[in-house]
Amino acid sequence: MLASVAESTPPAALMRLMERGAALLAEGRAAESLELLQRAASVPDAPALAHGLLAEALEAEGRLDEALLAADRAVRSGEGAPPWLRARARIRRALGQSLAGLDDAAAAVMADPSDIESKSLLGICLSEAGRHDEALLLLHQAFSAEPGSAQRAAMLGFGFLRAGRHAAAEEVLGLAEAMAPQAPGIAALRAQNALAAGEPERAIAIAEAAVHRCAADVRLFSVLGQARQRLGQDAAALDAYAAALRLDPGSGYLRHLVAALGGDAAPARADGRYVAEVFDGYASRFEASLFALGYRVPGMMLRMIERARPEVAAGRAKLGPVLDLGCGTGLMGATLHDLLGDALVGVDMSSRMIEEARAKGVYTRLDCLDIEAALRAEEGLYDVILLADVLCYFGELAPLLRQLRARLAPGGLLLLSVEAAAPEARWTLARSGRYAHGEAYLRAALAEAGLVAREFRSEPIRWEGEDPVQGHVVCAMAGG
Amino acid sequence: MDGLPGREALAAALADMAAGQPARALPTLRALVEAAPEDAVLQLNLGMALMDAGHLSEAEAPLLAAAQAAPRHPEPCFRLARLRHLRGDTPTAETLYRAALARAPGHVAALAGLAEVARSLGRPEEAASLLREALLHAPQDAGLRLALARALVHSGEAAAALEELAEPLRRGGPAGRLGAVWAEALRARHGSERACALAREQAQAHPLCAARAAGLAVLCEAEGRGAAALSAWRAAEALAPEDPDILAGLAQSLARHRDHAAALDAFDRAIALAPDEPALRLGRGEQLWRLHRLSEAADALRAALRDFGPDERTRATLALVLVSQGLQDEAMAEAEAAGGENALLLGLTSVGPYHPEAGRAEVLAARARALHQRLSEGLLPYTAPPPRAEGRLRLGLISAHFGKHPVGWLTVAGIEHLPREQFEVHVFSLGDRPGEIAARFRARADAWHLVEPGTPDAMLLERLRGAELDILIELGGHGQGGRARLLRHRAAPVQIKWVGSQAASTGTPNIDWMLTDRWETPEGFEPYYTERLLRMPDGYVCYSPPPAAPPVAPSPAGFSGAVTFGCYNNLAKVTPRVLAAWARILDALPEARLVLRTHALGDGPTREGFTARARAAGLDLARVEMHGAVPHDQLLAAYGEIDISLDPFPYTGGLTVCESLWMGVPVLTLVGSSFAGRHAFSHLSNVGLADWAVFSEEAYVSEAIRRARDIPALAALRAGMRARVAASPLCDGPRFGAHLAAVLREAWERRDRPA
Repeated sequence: MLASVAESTPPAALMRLMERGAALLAEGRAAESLELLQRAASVPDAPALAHGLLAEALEAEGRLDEALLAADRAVRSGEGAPPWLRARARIRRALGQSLAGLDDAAAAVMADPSDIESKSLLGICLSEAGRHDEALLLLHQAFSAEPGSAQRAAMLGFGFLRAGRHAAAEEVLGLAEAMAPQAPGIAALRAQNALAAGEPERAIAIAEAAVHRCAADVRLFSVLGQARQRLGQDAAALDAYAAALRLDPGSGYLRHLVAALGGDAAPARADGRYVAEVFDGYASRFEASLFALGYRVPGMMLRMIERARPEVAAGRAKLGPVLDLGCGTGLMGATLHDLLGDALVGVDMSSRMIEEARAKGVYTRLDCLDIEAALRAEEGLYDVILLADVLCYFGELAPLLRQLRARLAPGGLLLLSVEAAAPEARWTLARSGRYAHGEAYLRAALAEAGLVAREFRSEPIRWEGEDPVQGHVVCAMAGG
Repeated sequence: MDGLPGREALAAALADMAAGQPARALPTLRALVEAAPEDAVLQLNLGMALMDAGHLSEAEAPLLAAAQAAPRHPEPCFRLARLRHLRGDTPTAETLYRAALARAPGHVAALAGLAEVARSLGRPEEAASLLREALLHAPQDAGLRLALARALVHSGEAAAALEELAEPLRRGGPAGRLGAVWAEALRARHGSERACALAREQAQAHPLCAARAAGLAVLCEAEGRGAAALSAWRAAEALAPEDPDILAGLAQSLARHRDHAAALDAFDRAIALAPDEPALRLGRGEQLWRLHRLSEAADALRAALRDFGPDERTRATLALVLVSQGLQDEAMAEAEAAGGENALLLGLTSVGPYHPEAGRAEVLAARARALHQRLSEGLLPYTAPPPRAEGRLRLGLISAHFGKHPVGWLTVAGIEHLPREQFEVHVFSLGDRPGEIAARFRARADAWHLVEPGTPDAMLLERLRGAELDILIELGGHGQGGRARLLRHRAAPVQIKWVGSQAASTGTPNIDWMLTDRWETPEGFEPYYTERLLRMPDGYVCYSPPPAAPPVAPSPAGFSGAVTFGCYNNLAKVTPRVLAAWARILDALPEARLVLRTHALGDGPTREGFTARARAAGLDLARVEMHGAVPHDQLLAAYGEIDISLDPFPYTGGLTVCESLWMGVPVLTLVGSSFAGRHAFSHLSNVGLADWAVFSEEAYVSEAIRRARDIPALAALRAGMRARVAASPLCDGPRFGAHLAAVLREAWERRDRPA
């Protein structure tokens, strides 16, 4: 045993490559470390450490696909050592493979249940997956083990925030901020929590103080913009979004928000990157936030279908093929589960949403596509087509409705929801960055596309704080 | 050594030398030589130990004594030859190498030295045959084989060179040199790009080979891929941490990446292994200067000049150090001594404008014309891109300073507000800077071209020309990291100089315009510039105040009853005449104080020297506070300690003036004739405070005294200052952007018409 250890001791040069590479990585000089770590990992039978460090360097450089390969090698040759499982978990999360990431984090905890870093990461993964009780348990253990660490406190705060426990979140995030007042990320999280708790003024105070205290940070300006917007301070919100956009000029999300606030002309539909980024960022906490918002659309649509198809509601028949456009995390699929008798096809342009939907196990096919592209490619006919809370990313509806009608099977149902604009308006781009549609316009667009509303309900589709958001939910069929 | 008989002492000294510890042998050898000065062996060994320890200037005397005492011995001749060779005296070195060979025809090192002389004088075939001869005597010597390979590359026999290198690459050799020659041979054989790819493949196959890592680094550098080169140097260093050539390569690469502390460390390690390498000593001095360790930098450079004799670049760097210490006369003398183009450049940019005499517009103009003439030789032909149909002009910006740097603070708002429908902006960033200002440049840029540190001139010119620009604005000048000189070959039909070492005319052929204003260069100033003057309607810059700047503090004189003056400019600007003026002001105001704050004052010996000069100028030091540098936010807050900024002259404040005004503190300036001499005048006029500018030293002193006596007026001015500056054209981005667009269009339309 001793001899084999001696034989497997890497030569001094290899050790230096890894040591110096690790030191550069720790100093935040990932680019400089690459040549060292690539060489270390190229040595025949390189130790897991070499692959693992290379994975971390590539991850830091944003070369995620290569990082994943290196992390695979590290996990394989390191026999599942927790640091490399964690690295792979982080890389997978960054690649949008959050469930696989969760598996890795869980494996890391099982390999060494005492490892705080692993627990913390698993806690975050669980939190994002909406498994709040387990998440909070782990995040709390990690925090208790290192009560002086601002990062641990911040992560626990994050867990509370995700779980909707805003008072508890404020307590630990306040603590974290006191420990690391220069860290803009912590302040941004605390402001986000205040905003989620329905206290935009406090969110503004937190963010503004941090803007003065910390280095310029895109997250801070972004949450500051959201909070100001919530209070109707649109000009000030625009300033904040514009500042954020200057710091992250490639962000379609921010560009769209700036446009929505009048910083630029409103585009005819939302920038594709805006939709993908909003939902990639929120995928796993999306459902929780929708339920917290009192989201009613799935239930309303279910009852509309049951009214239109009493034999299905009674369990004597099943639905034909269903197309769920903008399926998100698969809420509609889960809602319709008992009625399904044929294919259920989901389409969404956020890969993270698709992954969440896939985890529900009810969709027969999931396509990560833009809705219009999906419709162009689609050749089948559907018994039910669903557009739940997705037309808020479209201004003009008529062309889309025409495409939809073409995909309805004889007697098929088209269910859609929109946010209500003023009755006389056609459509408007709201401050929230979402489109709203006027009733008359919607009816006209349906008629123009050859669709007849079987039911047209105008009522609150969700609540924002105390305020109901009015919408129209329609069940339509092909006319004539 | 007292207890040891001479023979044993000598044996111990020789053992030290053999062990690579020549410095340890020196005391013994000196004592022995003193006791027996006629002993050739002792003199020779003392000379060799001195050379090996890097004390080149002292080595010549004992070597000459040895040569005299033992005229038939080859070694003193060889050592003297080597010494002359290191000091750049190639002809004498050649004669002495031949003398050594006449005494011992098989002297391998002399053959190698002579070969090196032959190669450097463009006789590579002769070098190769000398080296083949040397290899007959020492077939195992890897160094000789490398030198032969190098000579072969230079003789156009790259394939033969690669064959020579196969053996050392397999068995190992001096990794850094081996890698460099290998890279040279690969490039000669396959061209730069293919050579780089081959070196990459080899890295995979031989991941632990330091020579190949060094070779890859060299090839990346030649390809303009400085970041990859740095990483490869890091790998080479990890694989061969004791190789001086690799450490030198790493040090230079780190320096180009502005990581001066790490570069200094690498230079120190390299020098410990190769004390007689002039480039390392110069590099070390440069890093010390960049780290504001000015007195150490001056010592290091002076020692290098002593050891290796006069060297243009070493003198030029020493001139920069001296001016940073506030020694304008000494710096000017050193710059002149450097001679050649260095003298002209320094006189025009980094040293001359600070000097009371050399900084006058007429003197600068003469230098600019001389430089212009010198740079007009060997210009590469240029063809303008075909005119585009659409109306947008393609505007290039080139600088190393798109970030938190005066160039950033003084240009970003103007660039941001250049109308997008009129200008397509291409930014050529020499290296990368992090932070918010950098992000703002990126946000405005229609195209971002990162030029990695160390990108060769030819490659940069090709990239600039490849962008088919209509107008190119240069924002770095001849200062550190600037590439203004390159633009003499022209990269756009219209080339303009703007902020960034904009102290005087650039004296650069094909830089057509100087972006300026009527205060910087009023009518009649045209003869001082080799460029045409492109005047903005307001000031020539647009200041972006830092968002995190603290609020304006109340006037300190309001509490103390007496004025506190301040100057937060660098010491290079503070001349003896400035000190004398300040002394007169403080003399007249017995309660007044003066606060100075700059990097150089944090360097002990520099501060002592400055203190002595201040005392000599008659300043009452009891009323002068001196501080080293502080972080930027603290520097801004420190304006709360002062009532009036006293601007230095002849090189006036630029960004410092804007910051002082933003922090509520008015600036009293003496207007000079050079561009640098009128920065402050331009900014003050632009915010409506031209009455704070004076035109003689007498007026400077009397006006300071008069202003200091009216504390209520100072308080009132201070209270409204930030609002005044914010509302002025100095901070009006949209207005500036529109004006800039108009003058750029004017320059474009007048491009084919002579001045």
